[in-house]
Amino acid sequence: MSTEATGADVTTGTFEEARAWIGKKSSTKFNEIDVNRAMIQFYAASVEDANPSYWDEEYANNAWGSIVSPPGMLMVWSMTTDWNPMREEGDDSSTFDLPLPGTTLINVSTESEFFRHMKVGEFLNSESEVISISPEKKTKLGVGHFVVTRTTYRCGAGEKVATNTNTMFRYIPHGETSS
Amino acid sequence: MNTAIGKYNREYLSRVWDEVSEGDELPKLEMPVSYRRVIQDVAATRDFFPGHHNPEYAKKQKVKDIYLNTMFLQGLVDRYVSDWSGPEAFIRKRKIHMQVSIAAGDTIHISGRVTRKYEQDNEKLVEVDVQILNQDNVPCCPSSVVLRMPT
Repeated sequence: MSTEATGADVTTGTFEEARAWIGKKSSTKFNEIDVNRAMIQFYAASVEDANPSYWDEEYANNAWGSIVSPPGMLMVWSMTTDWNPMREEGDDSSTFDLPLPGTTLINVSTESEFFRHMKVGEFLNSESEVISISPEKKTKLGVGHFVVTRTTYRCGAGEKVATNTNTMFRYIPHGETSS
Repeated sequence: MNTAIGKYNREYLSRVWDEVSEGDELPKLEMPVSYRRVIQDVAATRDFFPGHHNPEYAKKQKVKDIYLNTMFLQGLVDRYVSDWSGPEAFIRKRKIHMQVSIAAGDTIHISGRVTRKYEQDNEKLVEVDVQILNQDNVPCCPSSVVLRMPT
């Protein structure tokens, strides 16, 4: 299946090329969208989360000062739209860009720490660093490398809101030959 | 329990730290994972990675069908714990480990247990271990959450 048909855009390269990325910090990535009530409620609905901090302004205003974001939306706020006429070239650096032999990827684990709630109206920004890349490993999905990245999320004023350490598996599925 | 009042005079109860003991079990939760749910996940998180919406791509990845993404599982674990704690608790830390993908057609069974109750840096904390099993009793996503609880 072509990349065009699947929409998976993965940069391939060698393990050695990828290792050069370890310890490199990304430039600060500024979120395109603000923490907003509509998306909070679509997300809370998808997992059926009745927490009034996301639904009930009277409760949320008293408890936190505003409707707040579910912590699980930390990564949602930094998702980009597929198309955006205002986007500048070259300011996006995601783990998709990491050159590795794997033709696809799957997320394995995340470890997050939250320092305060994310509030409606805030634009967050983030900085990521590649922490480690494992030697080649074989799992039931295929053969590839585990990539650990750490991201720090801040609000516009610079206050640290959360950190996230993510482990992803970049692999060639069993039965597929690398091209 | 702390009580707070919201819109339409709704009452929201929150468990306080003193009421929690190590070993407490959380009420179990079952959730069928339909195609609709997986696509709601995509719509809510705007994660257009093809494994979450394209069955053919998921199969090429060696997953049986389109599967729930990380952000959904984080939100599900948080929701499960917050259903039990009430809205005043704050999620300080959460770890999830996606051992087996949860795909459309699966039914998941979630359970949880308080494993640690402690104080650190003036915060009253509780750690909860969460297990998510599929219909074949396979552990899919062992997780743990550290909550800051009200007093």
